[in-house]
Amino acid sequence: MKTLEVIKDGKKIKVPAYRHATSIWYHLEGRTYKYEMPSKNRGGAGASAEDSGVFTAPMPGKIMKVMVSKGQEVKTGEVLLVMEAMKMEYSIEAPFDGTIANLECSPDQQVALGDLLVSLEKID
Amino acid sequence: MSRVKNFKKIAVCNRGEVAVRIIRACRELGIQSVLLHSDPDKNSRAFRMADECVNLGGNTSAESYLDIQKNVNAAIKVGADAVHPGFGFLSENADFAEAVIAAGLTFVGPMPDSIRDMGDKVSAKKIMEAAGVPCIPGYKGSDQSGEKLLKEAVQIGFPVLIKAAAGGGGRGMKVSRSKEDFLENLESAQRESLAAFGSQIVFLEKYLEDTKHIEFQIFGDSYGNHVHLFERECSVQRRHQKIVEEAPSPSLSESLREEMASAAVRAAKAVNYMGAGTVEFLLKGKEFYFLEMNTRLQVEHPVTEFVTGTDLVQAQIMVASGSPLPWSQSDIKLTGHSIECRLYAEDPYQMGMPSTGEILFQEFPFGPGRRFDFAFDAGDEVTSYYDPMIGKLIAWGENRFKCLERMQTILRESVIFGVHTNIEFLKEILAHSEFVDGSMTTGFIAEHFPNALGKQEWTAEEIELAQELYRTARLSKLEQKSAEQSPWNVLWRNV
Repeated sequence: MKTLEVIKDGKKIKVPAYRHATSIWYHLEGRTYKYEMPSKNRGGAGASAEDSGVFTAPMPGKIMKVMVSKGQEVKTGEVLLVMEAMKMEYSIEAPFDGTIANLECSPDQQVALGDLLVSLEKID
Repeated sequence: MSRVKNFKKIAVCNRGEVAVRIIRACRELGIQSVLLHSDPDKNSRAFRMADECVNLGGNTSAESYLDIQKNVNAAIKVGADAVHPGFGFLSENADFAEAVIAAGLTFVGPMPDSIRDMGDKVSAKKIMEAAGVPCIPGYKGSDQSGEKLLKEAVQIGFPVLIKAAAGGGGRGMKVSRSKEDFLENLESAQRESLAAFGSQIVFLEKYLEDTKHIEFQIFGDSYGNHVHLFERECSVQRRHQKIVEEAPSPSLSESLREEMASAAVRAAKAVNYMGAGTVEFLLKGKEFYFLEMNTRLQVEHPVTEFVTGTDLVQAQIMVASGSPLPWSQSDIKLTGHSIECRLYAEDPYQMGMPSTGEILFQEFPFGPGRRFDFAFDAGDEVTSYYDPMIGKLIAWGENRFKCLERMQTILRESVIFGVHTNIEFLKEILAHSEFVDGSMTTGFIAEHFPNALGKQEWTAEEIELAQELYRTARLSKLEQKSAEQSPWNVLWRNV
């Protein structure tokens, strides 16, 4: 058991939370939640984005920045793009050294949950 | 010579929260308790609390809690003076009560004949009618021809309920809404009854819709004294399984309460009832009808204990030992209001699918007017072998409104991690206008919550928070080393 602090509407909220295997149990504002982290074995070709290099939108939102172009070589940890959803920014980093095989989004574009954003091919 | 036996040791033939409840009552009375349990229940609060434990073996109820011989043999072997059957399992099994008595032990409950009389629905109804207890109009004759039954159905008036005489749990039970569909439903009920109970004898009853479930707690001793401890309303049910119970009922006037209480006491006297029992009625408007009598302690007994200031389990043990009832009717007063919520390990967002697993953490907001009866502690495992009820939350308040408010607070502050529970569902039930104004009937859940809470919808914000909590919680663990790194970095920047 661990009590985490969350800031919501400028207020600090204490959240008892318990991580168990691939899920997190927490109690927030009078309600208990269990969230199962997206499985590595789910999604395209049975592999996660970290393994396959294929990234889809994890939620509906807007593409803010695209730092790469098709065919470009990138290094592990390099930021590929930034998206915004629910007043927060999320950035995608290259999980391995590779080449941008597909780029399916551009700045200011609205994307839906599950839309293909970018895919990366490993350099052998 | 005194007729009162001094129990030294009681065998508890049950599990879960009721076993804990009985063990505590024994302890307060200075009696040793022995838990007769199954293999998986070594991981339960009752196992840790009992003075002695006997493993009956096996995972299933059939191998343990339902095996008459194993229970009787174990009770004899440990030198118990008495056996407490709790509720469910063998509690309403007349053969078990007889076997216990034949072994020279005391059965904490009524005489086997009372269990038998009330267990058969047709005989129970006959006894109640003779005692002047109102019963649902119907036919329970021996002429079982389709022609005769149809004639009787027309006489009763549709809709008519066709019930298996040997039935229970809804099997062999059909509703006929008109003369035209009667024979079809009759044949279906007879087939089901034959398959399930080996008998196709049925009886007919007027089918009452939009009724309330009101039950009276009664108590008798071996000196012929009988009292009632007022009523409980248990209209919030799902497939005949109660979810929320309260005492007193918000639907009874003083005069109706008196009338029903006196019928309940007549019912108890009619079978010379001993110990704790419950007379269940259906209430439609101001008319009430005998439904059945439960010859045991009820799951929802704590609400009665709260509003009457009694200890029903201790009273059961005292009366079984030969003591007279600890109260006369005039001693029993109704004070305030009490509500019980049954906690089921199930997912209300998945149609109430049972949830199993280890309880990782649990916390309940103790305080005045609150009682939490639980089967497990953190670290215990909820298995799929038994009923998914893991405990009960019970609140008391000066009036129904205050009690309801307190219960909502309890539901908000109760935390269970590891298995899903129906807490969110209970909050919705208690907040529903029909529950708040007290007008709910037994059709409440089916009408307003046919799919429990439906599918859980996560907003993008909730998902992000959950994932962030997951990552943050993980950072404190050594296992972070082996865990994968997400390609998503949250900046937590307001944009």
